[in-house]
Amino acid sequence: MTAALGFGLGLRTDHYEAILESHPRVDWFEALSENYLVPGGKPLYYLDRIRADYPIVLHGVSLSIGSADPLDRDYLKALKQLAQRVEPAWVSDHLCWTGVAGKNLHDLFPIPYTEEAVEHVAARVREVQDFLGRRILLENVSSYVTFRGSEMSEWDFLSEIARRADCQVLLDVNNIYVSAFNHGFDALEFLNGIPVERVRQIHLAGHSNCGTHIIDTHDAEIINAVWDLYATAVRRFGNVATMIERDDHIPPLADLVAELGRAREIAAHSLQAKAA
Amino acid sequence: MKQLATTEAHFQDYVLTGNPAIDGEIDGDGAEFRNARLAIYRDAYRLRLIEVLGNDYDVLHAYLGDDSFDALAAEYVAAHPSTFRNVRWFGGRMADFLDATPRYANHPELGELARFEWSLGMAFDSPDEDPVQFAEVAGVPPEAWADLRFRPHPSLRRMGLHTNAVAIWKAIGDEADPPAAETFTAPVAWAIWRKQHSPFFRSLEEDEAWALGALLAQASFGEICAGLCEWVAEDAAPARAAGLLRGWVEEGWIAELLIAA
Repeated sequence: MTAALGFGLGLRTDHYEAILESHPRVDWFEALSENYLVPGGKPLYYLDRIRADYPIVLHGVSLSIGSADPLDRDYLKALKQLAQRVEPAWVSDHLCWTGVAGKNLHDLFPIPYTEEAVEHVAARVREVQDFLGRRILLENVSSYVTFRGSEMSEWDFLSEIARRADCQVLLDVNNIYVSAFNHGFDALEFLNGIPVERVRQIHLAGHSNCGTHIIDTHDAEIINAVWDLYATAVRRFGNVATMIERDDHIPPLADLVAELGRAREIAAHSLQAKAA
Repeated sequence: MKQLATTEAHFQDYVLTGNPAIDGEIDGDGAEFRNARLAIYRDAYRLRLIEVLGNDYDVLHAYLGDDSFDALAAEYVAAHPSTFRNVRWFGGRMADFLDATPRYANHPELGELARFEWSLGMAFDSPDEDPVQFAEVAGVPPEAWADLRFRPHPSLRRMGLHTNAVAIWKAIGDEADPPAAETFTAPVAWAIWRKQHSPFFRSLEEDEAWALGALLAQASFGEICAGLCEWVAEDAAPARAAGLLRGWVEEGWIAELLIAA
């Protein structure tokens, strides 16, 4: 196991100049792969410059690993080229599907937790990993529905795919909180159901609580209950690379660096408790 | 994989069209609960793509106003479900959609505004390539000029617009009241390209528009000189062509000089 990267932020266009000018105390950045799957211009220019100063990980939103459609070879080729350019610490995407019949709905849809789907997804992860020449990380998504046909819990589904495909896990602690609220399961049971050695990265984010359900908006500060869950996660999974993912209502870079400081403190405290 | 494929097909059909066939596969007591949860996906799909279109076409959005733009965007989302992995390309058919939809086609500046905005966006992240410098042009041997051809910079586009869409675009960018829409008897040609990291555009004189079109169609410098005789005297054509070429090189429109072997 390689050393953890530390504490990172999602790379957002609003922050390009501030990153280069202020060289903030951020250990690494997570770049959204699709934002850089373009021919040229400003996005790739800034990515290259920031990569010169910081480690980068690539995080995709359209691998659609759970889709019944065939894998998109053109997308994988473009992703592989981008990875050759960026030399990311790792490449991740979501345990979801984004469309079928050639369509892409640009959302992260849930998969029924069935043996059929485990086998289908694990085979595709192996294919992707063979093609990219590297292991990938799969992230748990927030969801608003579950399927009657599900045969296992979400954590068993994720763990079993990771085992069969020998891939790693990007644990989104906020998404666990959101889905636990929406579906009435115990978030701690989720954490305890994921094998420690598989978790390579943790996401933290904010959300919108609508009372009867929570929408995963990734557009607000992280709430205390998610920080608490993060503290528990660090006690279980140890010194895992952690990042804050803000997708909307992007605040000034300094605000996110400050929020990341809280993650550092909580992680340090949890690691002390774990060692004691 | 049969059940997974069926579930996903039903789920997608619900998100795209509202077809309730997926309901039987969703967990939870009460149709109201299941419908409310499913609707989160259906609403988010539409709203997300309307937002994407609003970012791609922020001037068209400002020109139409929120309600009209959102209605247009919703119609576009319904008419053109995305087949792209990258949402960056989703809005690329907006100008054609406006031109082909009767109630929008009656306002031709809308399609042209969309075409202009999309072209600026295309220039923004078009391929990187260093343009030819003037010293390189000056080094072309005299005997090579007649057959000299040019590879344009990958960001360069030329378009003819029949309306004052660019004037509307500029006014909205300056937060001024846009001028009334106007349709011209003859189209005005525009060049759009990227310099450093920013898209640029400018209008083209009639002879320059023709000459640039000829260059893009792989005409030789000699052919461009001959063609310019329609606008200038024969003995003045080489000087006019050379002057245009100098301007194009200075703008960074030429990626490579193709000297015949």
